[in-house]
Amino acid sequence: MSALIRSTELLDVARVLTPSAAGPGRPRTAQLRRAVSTAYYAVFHELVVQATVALCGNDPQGAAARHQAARWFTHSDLRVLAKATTSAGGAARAVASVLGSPHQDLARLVDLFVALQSERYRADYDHEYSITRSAALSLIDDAGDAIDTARRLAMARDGSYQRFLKLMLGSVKIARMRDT
Amino acid sequence: MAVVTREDEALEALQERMRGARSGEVEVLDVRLDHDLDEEMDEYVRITLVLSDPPPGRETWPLVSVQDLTRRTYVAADGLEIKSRLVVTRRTREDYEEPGWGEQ
Repeated sequence: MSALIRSTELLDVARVLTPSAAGPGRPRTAQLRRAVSTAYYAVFHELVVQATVALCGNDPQGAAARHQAARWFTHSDLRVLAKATTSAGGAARAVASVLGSPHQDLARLVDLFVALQSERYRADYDHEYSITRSAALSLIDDAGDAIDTARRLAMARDGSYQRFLKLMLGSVKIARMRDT
Repeated sequence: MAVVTREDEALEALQERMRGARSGEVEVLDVRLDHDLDEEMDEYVRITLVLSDPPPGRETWPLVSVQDLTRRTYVAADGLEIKSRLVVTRRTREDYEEPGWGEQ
């Protein structure tokens, strides 16, 4: 039985966690927190799947290698790469020189990713985090758009996106170690 | 007495610029600024656009409107030469009228 992590299934789960018929008022805050967190994970796993294809190829025989490599990606590495994509200085400058000028859709994807990751961190750990169903649904829409954008960039074989995917595996840490 | 920096002034100007902005049927009612730390303990400024209720019959705001307002916020921040790392998000008015922890 296949138990692959699929970003579209995660998005479906996020929507299930934000039901309209949840009784008077709203779904429980705990549900909305999980919905926001799950929407972020949908984007994270979409990027990881695409990065493993960039690393190992899309051959059906390479599935085991892709699944193994998928476990090496971290939220922290992606966050730092995302910051490097949109800022300057230090390791970011080194990574940016490898990445080149990002496609405008990649820049938007990075902004969406960073915003969703920030929401996920607060949803998971901040006791004062507050969100209504409307806002949670809007963030789920963002996650869906991020996934669609990633797929379009992959289909178009955009150069900056292909380099971004390959840089996802700890590139900023490597740049910091080698360039200092 | 707290020292007001040029960055503080620019962030305040950004608030003023985006307050009342519209995209389609969605209006920015208020703009909240919060200085926060990410998981690496790096500081960022969270800009929360407090939006009018979703259009009648819709459960949330149209994606195109939300993304337009978000993009305009980043563009305005660039124009104001804001140096802080920004994260733009959105909330309803209701989010700021909620009971506190333990009151739900």
